[in-house]
Amino acid sequence: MVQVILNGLMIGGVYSLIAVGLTMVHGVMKIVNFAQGDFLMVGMYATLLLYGLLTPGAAPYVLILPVAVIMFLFGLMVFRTTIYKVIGKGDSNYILLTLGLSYLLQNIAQLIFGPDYRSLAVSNDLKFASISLADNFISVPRLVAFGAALILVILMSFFLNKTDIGRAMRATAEDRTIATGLGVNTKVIYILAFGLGTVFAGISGLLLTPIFFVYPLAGAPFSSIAMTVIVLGGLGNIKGAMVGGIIIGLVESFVSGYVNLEMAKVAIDLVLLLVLMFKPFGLFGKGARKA
Amino acid sequence: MKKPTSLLRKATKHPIAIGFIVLCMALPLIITRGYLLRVFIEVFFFAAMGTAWNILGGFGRQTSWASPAFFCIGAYTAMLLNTNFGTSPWVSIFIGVAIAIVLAIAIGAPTLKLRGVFFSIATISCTSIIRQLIFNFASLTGGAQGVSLKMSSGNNFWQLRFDSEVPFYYIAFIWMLIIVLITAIISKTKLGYYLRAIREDEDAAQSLGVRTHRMKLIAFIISAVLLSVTGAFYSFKIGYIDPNSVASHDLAIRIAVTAILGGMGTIWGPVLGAFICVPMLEVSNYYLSNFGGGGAGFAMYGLAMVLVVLFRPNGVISLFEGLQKRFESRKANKQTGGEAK
Amino acid sequence: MKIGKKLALLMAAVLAATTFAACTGNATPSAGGGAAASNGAATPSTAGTGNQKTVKIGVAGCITGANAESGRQTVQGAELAAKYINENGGIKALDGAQVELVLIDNTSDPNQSALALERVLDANNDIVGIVGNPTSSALLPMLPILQKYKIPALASTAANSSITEQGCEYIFQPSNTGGQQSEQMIAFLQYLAQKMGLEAKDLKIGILYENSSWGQDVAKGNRENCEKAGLTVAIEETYPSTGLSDASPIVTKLKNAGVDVLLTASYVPDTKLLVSTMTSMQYKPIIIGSGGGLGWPSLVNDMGSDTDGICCINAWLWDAKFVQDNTEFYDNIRLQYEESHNDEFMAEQVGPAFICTMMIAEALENGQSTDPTVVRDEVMKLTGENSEWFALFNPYSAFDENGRNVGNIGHSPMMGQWQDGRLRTVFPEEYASTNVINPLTLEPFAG
Repeated sequence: MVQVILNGLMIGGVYSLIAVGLTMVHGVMKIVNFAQGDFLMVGMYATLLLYGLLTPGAAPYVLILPVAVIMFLFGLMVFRTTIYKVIGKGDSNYILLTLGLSYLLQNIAQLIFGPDYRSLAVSNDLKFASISLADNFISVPRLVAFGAALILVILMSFFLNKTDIGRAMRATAEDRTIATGLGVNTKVIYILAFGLGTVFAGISGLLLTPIFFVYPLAGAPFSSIAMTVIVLGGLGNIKGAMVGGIIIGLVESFVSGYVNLEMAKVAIDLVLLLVLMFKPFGLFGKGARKA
Repeated sequence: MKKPTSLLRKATKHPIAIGFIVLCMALPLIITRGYLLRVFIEVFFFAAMGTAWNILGGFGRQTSWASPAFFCIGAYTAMLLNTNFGTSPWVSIFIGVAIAIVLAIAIGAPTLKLRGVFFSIATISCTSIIRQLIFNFASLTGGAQGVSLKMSSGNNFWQLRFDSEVPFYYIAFIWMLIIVLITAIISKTKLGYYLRAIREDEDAAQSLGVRTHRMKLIAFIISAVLLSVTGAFYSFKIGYIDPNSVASHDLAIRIAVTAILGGMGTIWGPVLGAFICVPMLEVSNYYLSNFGGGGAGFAMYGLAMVLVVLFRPNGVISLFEGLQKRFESRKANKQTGGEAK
Repeated sequence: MKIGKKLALLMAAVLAATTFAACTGNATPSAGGGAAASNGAATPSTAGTGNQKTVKIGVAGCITGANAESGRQTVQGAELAAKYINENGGIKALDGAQVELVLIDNTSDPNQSALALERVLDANNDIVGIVGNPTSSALLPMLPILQKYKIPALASTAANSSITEQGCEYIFQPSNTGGQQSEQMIAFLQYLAQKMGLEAKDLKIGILYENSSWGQDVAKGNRENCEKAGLTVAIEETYPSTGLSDASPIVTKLKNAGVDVLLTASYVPDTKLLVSTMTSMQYKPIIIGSGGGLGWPSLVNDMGSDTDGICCINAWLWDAKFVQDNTEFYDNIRLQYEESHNDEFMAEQVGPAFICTMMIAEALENGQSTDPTVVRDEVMKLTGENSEWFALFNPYSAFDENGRNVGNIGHSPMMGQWQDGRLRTVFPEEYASTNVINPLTLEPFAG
């Protein structure tokens, strides 16, 4: 039972990280990015490519900064070419746009890299390392992923609450018109938000490379999980995304552990449906104006 | 509905619609290659599904991803009843419709209360839940093994088994026309009117007394029924179904893209979309499958979605509407002798 | 309705129709996706020496997409056969006609199987036979089309039992079924337990399978055979066939159930994830797997020596005794393959694809006709006795009237074990090329 909880927590941390990126983008520009999971995949491939520059067997975590930069630029490019044009133009537009992007990214990745499942040549010492607590094990790469996710989310929280830009971002999320009136350059805010959201997805990808395989469809399951998490936590709510991620991780772990893996997917879907029915603003949300 | 004479008069106003229909009806006389006819059948079925989706998704702009769930109902009902009891698919269709209505209410009633993206997200899970149910009740549904029709030869209309592609070509085409007709009728009735109001501004519509939830639900149910019947026909054409292929999110996307690319909220848009999408996939699989991972076809789908949203949110059909407007205004100017607008 | 819209529709319809007529109508088989095998193996040096007739054999597989590994192996096996035939004078009964392969790629999407097949058959109306598709879920949709076009297909390693139960008269299943595979897995389990000095009935067994028609088939067989043998199944677990993203819940469950022996039916990525998760959780059960990923070269390419000791049933093994007895194959053809493929042993899909291509060639020789129905009848007559190639599946091979190979009953498949980076035949002893080693200690057994 403890093992099940540990499993859930570890993966939950990663879910939180992706979800935070997703929810932040929604908070600021009211867009749910259906391609967030695929941004994660892009992060994975970016890590894969850069890893070649390191000595084999090294830990990929040193690449966090370069990957973050690459992902930010990538997010910037995507934003300027596509997302920017559908802000405020109604739900079905961005749903279809980001879904199209998702498909496009998956297949471009397949065209460039092929469908093979790759992994980093991380040393087995790292890949298989684990810490044991009594009879239970925590896999080190998962622990690192969890830790990094936690740190980043706390940093983000700090950024949003204690810095000027952060506050400007929250203001734009609350009410764009008034924010503009107060002198906030909303365009910059949008770019920043989307860029950060992309960076978070990419970093999640990097953190997952020692654990999962790198392949074009690697991000797909994370898209739907991230969406469930942000609905659970309340759209636009960072803390909600953090907690929601952990909750979903635990749900998945418990259902897989006591029923089976297929039902775990269904369980997450059911959680989503239940939340939408009864608490559409999520457990912590207060901001979603339409639901 | 309308009196026969006025229908006839209406028909003569649309020579090109008639032309299209006549052309398609006559096509099997010209084209004999089974494979080509097979592709047309695929086009017609996707046009049918896209048009069905369009009722709620295009006219009402409620993007549903639950289409495969209803498709499955029709497909599985028809296949299972036939392989277990020899029931004719023509009979199973009605049973499938009944189940689809129940499911549509079960799914639609709660989810249609949600707005915009929430509704969309809610429907995504529906497909995977249905797939899971099919797996879990394997003794009934065959689970991952799927359901297969035994080989047969000879033509049997009642059992929908034919030797050549031609009968299914006509079945698919006529079914597609029926759905288009239903859409046209809806478009001209109050339901269509309310749906368009909902699309423009749901709050305003509600405040004007439109029972938005009810309207959306009716559209959802109609859509579900049509999808279910299409599923029954289509499954008999292919002869084999399994949950991983028919209860898949991919199918939902393909259906939606057909409608979106062609033109959401128009009557013939999805048909046009199908004529573009299906051959596009075939051609790319034919020419580009040696290219990298074979994902070129779906990459084009993704690209098409992005481009349509960015540049032609009203679908490809709006290209022609632009042409048509200029044509009409020039005609009008000629008649009145006035200047061009 | 407005003119513009109708015009659009008309144009689109005409456009689509003409595009089709144009690109598929006069496309020569070597242009475009349904084309001949891309490298020169199928049309070797004899090309250009006068007007060579060619005979076309289709190769159906998941050549691109998620299951591309299986497709790659299938294509390589068929290419090896085509090269061998062509270099040795082609099909002599047809004036030395050269074999040309035509690929049928379903892009690992079962939905595309039927359409891909029809597309290729439409563009190439002179295909005499098809090798593949070894993936059962891709093969089943193809059956109605094979029946319609009357083209025989030899399904290399497709293992689902319902393949030959659908009434399709043009499908052959030369390899063993999932049910036969599980019988052998249990028999081996008992054999291994005895060798390890353990009491089989005391062992806790876990059954793990991916939720596809193949996986379910194997699992069902495992369950039934365990019951028959009086063994304890502690837990049965499945996962989505779209792949395993996180193996920790499964491994946790298996560990908690105290599973000593794990019977699996999974593909390569899932297997890798499983084994690495188990290692990091310091859990090492005896693993006995059924084909799919567990026995393929990509496993050892990724996991190196961590694969040693793992046992895996394969539909076909390159070093089974009776394969070795065919010296032409074992000492010549096999080595050629290994040389040109980086010393990689002939994996589970390579050999059968090779054999099926040779069987079609043999049917062409025997029937002296390119009529696919004649080819089909000739294939039906092949047995392990009269065909040295069919015997490579199993010396007792023979097709029943449904196309299933009855020679496998009681004689197949073989159990392999990873030793030093290769999968070696270890069971049944009459076919073994080497002794089984203790999977936990990696030591040979005494005596």
